[in-house]
Amino acid sequence: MQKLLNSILRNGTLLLFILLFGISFRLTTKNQSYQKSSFLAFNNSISAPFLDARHRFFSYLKRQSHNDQLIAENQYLLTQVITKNNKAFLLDSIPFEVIPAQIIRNSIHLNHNYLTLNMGENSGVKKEMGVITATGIVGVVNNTNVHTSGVISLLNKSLRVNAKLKKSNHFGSLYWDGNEPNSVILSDVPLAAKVVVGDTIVTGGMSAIFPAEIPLGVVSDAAVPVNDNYYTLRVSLFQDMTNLNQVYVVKYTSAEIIKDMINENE
Amino acid sequence: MNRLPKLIIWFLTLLFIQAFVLDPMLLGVPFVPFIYVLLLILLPNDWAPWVVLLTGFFIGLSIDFIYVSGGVHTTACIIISYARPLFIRAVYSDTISPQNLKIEQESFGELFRYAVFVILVHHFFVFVFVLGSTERIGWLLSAWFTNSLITILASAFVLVLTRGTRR
Repeated sequence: MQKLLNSILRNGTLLLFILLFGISFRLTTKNQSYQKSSFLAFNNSISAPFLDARHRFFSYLKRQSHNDQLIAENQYLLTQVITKNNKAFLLDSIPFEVIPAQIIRNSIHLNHNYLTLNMGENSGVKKEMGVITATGIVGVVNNTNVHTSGVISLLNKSLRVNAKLKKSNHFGSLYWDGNEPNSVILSDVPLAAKVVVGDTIVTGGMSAIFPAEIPLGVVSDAAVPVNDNYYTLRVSLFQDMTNLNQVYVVKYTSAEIIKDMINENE
Repeated sequence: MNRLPKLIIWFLTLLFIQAFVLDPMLLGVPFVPFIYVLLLILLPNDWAPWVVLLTGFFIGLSIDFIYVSGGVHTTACIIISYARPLFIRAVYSDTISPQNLKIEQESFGELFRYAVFVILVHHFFVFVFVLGSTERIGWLLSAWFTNSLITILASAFVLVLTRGTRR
């Protein structure tokens, strides 16, 4: 026992190093799995007041550019509303509501990036709601607190989103490959789609997370892997993921509502 | 001023600058200098190794907390804190008694050389853990080089600016 104690005391620094290294390494690997992101939820709840103060400070400094961004978004959204209002049936636009929120923390350097919103459960934000802007998708809500929410960024290698070619409705799986923050990959698009560079990619709408037809980006490169019958497309995003501020959380209301509304109209 | 209160002021100031000013999202740039490494560089040389380790752990954890980066900065800080005597011996090899060495009072040239060593090693581990795989070695090298360079420049600026206050 005495020998053991002496040995521990003699190698105390090394043992402490191994212990602390183990803890920090565990934190690093845990951050890469969003299913186990309880640490992130804890982090968000503790740091929310600090992040909010920082956000207010910088929002004040950047108010002019934020105003310009909001005006441009409003203009775009208004155009969309007018266009939709002229359609006979609004199957895509009705079952979704949006909750405005602002990003108070964003990361782009890691393989698994996350964001924090200044809206939480008290504003109706829940897990697995989509987060969008007028020019693209941002991520999916992963955890919520009363006043803040954690979001898995589109720049997170674990996230896959259903997307399609606007011109032909051919579907594929959209994900980030960990390279440039302004481009993503759309895989599993059948060769029948006849893709050309410059084609527009929009959300597929095959989930209760994102509405269909949200513009995502344009094809910047189209390749067919050897012995494969599907395209792997590189997509340049419309949304600048390194400069996010105002976003909208998408709330999916029951599909029954739209059926009722159509019946009423008839 | 006593060394400990001085260090606490350094810690709070650098942490404030790192969190409030040097944030890639706020500045809209891909890389920002990690000037908090100066805290590891300027820790007193006569502190017990376990105190240095715990301080490094705490510094790294604070930065990871700000950047939501898991334990990337903490892991790099732990490695630097543990290997710190090696850097000191490498740079100040002609010093007769390393225990009595007061890093903050040494000449700027030696302090800068020591800072460059620490920053290069620290940033290497940061980006290795950011990457977490053997893919994208090219990105790792370019990110390591770019980020190290801007941290070295920013650190040199801070060291020159605060030369009088550190003595």
